[in-house]
Amino acid sequence: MTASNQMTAGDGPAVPDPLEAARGITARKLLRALWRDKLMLFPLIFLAALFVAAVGADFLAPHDPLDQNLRSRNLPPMSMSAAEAEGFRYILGADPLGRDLLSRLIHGARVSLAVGLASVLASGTLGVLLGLMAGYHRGWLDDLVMRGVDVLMGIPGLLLALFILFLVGTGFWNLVIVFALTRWMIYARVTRGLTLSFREQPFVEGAQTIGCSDSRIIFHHILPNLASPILVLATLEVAIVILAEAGLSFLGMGIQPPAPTWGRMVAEGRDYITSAPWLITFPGLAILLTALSLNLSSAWLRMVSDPVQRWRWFASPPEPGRATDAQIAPVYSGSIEMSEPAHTSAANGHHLLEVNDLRVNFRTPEGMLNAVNGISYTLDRGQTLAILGESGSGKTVSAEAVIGILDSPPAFVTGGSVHFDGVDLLQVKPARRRRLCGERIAMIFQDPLSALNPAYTVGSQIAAMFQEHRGTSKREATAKAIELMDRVRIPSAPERVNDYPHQFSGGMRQRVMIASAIALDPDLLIADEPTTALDVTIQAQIMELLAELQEETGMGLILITHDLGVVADVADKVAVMYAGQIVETGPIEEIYTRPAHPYTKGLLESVPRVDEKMESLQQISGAPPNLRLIPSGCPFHPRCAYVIDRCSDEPPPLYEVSQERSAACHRFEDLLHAN
Amino acid sequence: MPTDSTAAAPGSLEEPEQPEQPLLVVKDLVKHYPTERKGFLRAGRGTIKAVDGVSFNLHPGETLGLVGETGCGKSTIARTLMRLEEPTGGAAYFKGRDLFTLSKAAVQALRREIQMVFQDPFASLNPRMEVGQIIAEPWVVHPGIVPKEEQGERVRALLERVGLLPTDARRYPHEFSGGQRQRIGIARALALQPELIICDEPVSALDVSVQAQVINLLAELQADLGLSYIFIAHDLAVVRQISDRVAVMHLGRIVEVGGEEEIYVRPTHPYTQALLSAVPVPNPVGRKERQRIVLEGELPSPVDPPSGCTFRTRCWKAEAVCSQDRPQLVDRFDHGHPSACHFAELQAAPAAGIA
Ligand SMILES: Nc1ncnc2c1ncn2[C@@H]1O[C@H](COP(=O)(O)OP(=O)(O)OP(=O)(O)O)[C@@H](O)[C@H]1O
Ligand code: SF4
Ligand code: SF4
Ligand SMILES: [Mg+2]
Repeated sequence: MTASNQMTAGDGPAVPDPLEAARGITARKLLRALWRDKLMLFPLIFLAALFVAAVGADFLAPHDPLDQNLRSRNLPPMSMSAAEAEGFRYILGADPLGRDLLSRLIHGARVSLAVGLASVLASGTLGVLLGLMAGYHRGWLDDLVMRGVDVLMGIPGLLLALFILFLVGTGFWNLVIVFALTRWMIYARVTRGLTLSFREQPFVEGAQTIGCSDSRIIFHHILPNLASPILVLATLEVAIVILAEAGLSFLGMGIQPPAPTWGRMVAEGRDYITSAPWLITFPGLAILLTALSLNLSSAWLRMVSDPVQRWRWFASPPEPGRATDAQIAPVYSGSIEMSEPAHTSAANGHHLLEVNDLRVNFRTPEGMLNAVNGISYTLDRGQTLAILGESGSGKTVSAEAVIGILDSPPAFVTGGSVHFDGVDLLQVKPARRRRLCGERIAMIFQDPLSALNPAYTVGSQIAAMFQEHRGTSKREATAKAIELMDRVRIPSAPERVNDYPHQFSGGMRQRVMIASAIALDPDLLIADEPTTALDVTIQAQIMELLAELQEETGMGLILITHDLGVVADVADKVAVMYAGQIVETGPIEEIYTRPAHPYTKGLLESVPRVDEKMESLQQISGAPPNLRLIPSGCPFHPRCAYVIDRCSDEPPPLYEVSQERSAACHRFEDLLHAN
Repeated sequence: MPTDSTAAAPGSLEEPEQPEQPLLVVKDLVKHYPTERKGFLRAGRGTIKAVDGVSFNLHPGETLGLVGETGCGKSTIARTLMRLEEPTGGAAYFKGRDLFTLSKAAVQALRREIQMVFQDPFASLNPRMEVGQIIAEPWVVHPGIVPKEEQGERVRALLERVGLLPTDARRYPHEFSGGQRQRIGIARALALQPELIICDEPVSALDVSVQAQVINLLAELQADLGLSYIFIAHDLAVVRQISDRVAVMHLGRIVEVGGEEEIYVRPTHPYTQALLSAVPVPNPVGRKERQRIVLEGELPSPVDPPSGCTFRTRCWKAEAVCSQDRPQLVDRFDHGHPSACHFAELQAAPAAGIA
């Protein structure tokens, strides 16, 4: 009880600040955000104006659109009416029958929009309903609907529309029906595909487990998730239908004369394209702008209709790099020089690997993310260093920075040095670095399937190491590949060498990865969560294999993991990471028996154990921080049970705890005595 | 068949000190999935024997842990019990009613009493619903439990119960961390005041430091509300921490079941022994001397399981009889903890294994 109360205090929202902006959208917020995003402002204003014009055409049009005046035929824009008495100006000119172009355009908007919206409503409703049913219930209904979709997609829509209109005759409602019949499959296809994937989502199963009926699941759970793609689709369809209606009018099959439509205005203007170009220009422009505005606003709709995306748009745009830098920098500046504990100051070249004050940032659209904030460690030949930390603590990023496989951008190494066998990898030319790392440093990953190329046999992928780096012939390389597969104990290697990665189980794939990693006898092997995706019995096999190989070759091993048990089993030294920093490092036995940092202590006490059942687990309150908003002072202070006043503003340096140990905690001594 | 005895007297597997009626009796549960074999020459149908004759009892207020490796059928049991999946055979009596023969309407009503917490905290909440709506939805589906005007109040109470803030009701799921989302999932499961909650890997996706929070929360809720859990996980340590009894599964069957102490301290099935010895202990002291059974080979495929004992391809004690007779799940030592091995032994004897 008390534990959970304490927990609440630390449990803030995961991403606090920017989200406030999206909560409860008020008209004011909407306007302010729109004003910032001017690109969106124009299409929306245009569409709003169009809507007003369509609704209020009777009042807004300066003239009756049907009123002919043969004396004003083809008058250019801004001419005065020929009938002096009327004192009437043709702002956009007059058509061949002397009708006012502007008035016709305004009334045309009404027709175009009405046809567009009504058709999209009809085809959308039909298509979405059929798509939902087909995707949710599958079976014969799905077959039927999809067959219909295939057939209709095969026939050119305009041709089909013309044919149907030819049979049933033209007119507003006939047009709407024709568009519904020829466009529904666009929605049906998209809706079905999405429904199929959503119905497999755990949240839909969750709805089933609380007893929701099928129709509730379809309309309350699946449909809202489809809303934004469908809305986007519908917006684009409005543009397509308006264009199609213009095309049909152009061919004389749309809304019948004399009612003004944009399409027929273009058709009529065509004959006068040289003598009176404005006749075709203005309706053409209206069609173009409408289509363009609809397209632009669809992208905007996609964003605001999605609660996951919405805040990005409502929140102020991230200030460019500098500002964030300035915010975060002072927090760490104190620890720069001090983060180098006395024992790591050995001369360059002394250790196999010496990482010093390494820093990595990600420049993301949402701002600067400090993934690695000045970490230092050393590793000798034959040694195993475990980097222990929770998800997002920067384990992988720091390892990738060491061997130089970070994607930059978005990642930038902003400081520090990485000495490998005396050479600073961050200073040498990329080509040299690639060669050095390719031959002497190897890395294996958590997910061996994504690290292996599915298109090549495993044998050829292992052999490629020899062919590329040693210029070995293909034959010889394959022989060596088989030898290696044997060495990592893949049964019947000669037969399996020509198999593809997907034909191997997870554990065997990891063996293949290890085989290609040790192919060139590297001096350093970095294993990033090599067993996290595997079952315990398989994990035991892989860890044993790694230990054996290390024994044989004397390579240095960096083991990245979140599993305290695996660390205890194999590591000589451990570095505990939190929020992109090493908070404690030293020999494994000392750290596990007498942790000097509250985070390490908390972790050790909170893991359940297979060798004893505890009354209840100790727990660390709260959750790991968002790396965009790392707490000031000690990054662990909001969750720390030992927190004192100075922790929230004074970042602890890596204090030297003993000969080979250091811990970044102001109170490390209290902790040591407490144990 | 171990189930013969169960059929004769439901509850023969139960421990002697629990005389009351079991809440749930699962008998001989079978779930086979047809597979379309890929490859144009071998085109044909096989079956994946995801669950192949599983029986167990669950008592009120008890936690039964289900452990085993990938694909051993743990989640399939949960899904068939929730009727998310139709079983191929067998029966499951919840307070005497067979879950599998109930009508659709009766199943809906039963959902009030059995709830589920899912593994993936990121995909198991509808991203378009506010947290308050998610938690209150069960009351909309089952009208008459909580009147509309009291729902807001109850939602806030539930949020506080699981360690969140009452104001979180207005937020969307994506605004929460994994551990917090799992709390929301638990709050929704609690909304209907169920008697049984099936937790399918509820902490597997969580960070180490957050995992303990959720385990403690589940334990606390059980103590306060008298809930029963079926707790499914592949992490043996987590299962030990929360379970009263544990069933170890291998390839669709239970190979050993018993009290938490029995399974973890006195395992008799070679598979259980191998699993336990494979789990690394977070204690570096004396690790060099630690004996460990490292199994050779890989998990066999559930499409084409080995004859006889399905563990025999990896078992260091296997003999001819193991490939002919399927070992029955019976109590061989009168410890109230049955094990399905012809050569079940009390001593772990890892030294005899392939170390
Ligand atoms: N391409 C990227 N763009 C933006 N941020 C990234 C990118 N790659 C990683 N990050 C961020 O960098 C931080 C550190 O990530 P890293 O992968 O090193 O964590 P980790 O400790 O390896 O975690 P895990 O245990 O989940 O593998 C995380 O917050 C992550 O979100
Ligand atoms: S410095 Fe302070 S807040 Fe940080 S770990 Fe130490 S005691 Fe806790
Ligand atoms: S029955 Fe035979 S193969 Fe199966 S676990 Fe026992 S000894 Fe091993
Ligand atoms: Mg990682």
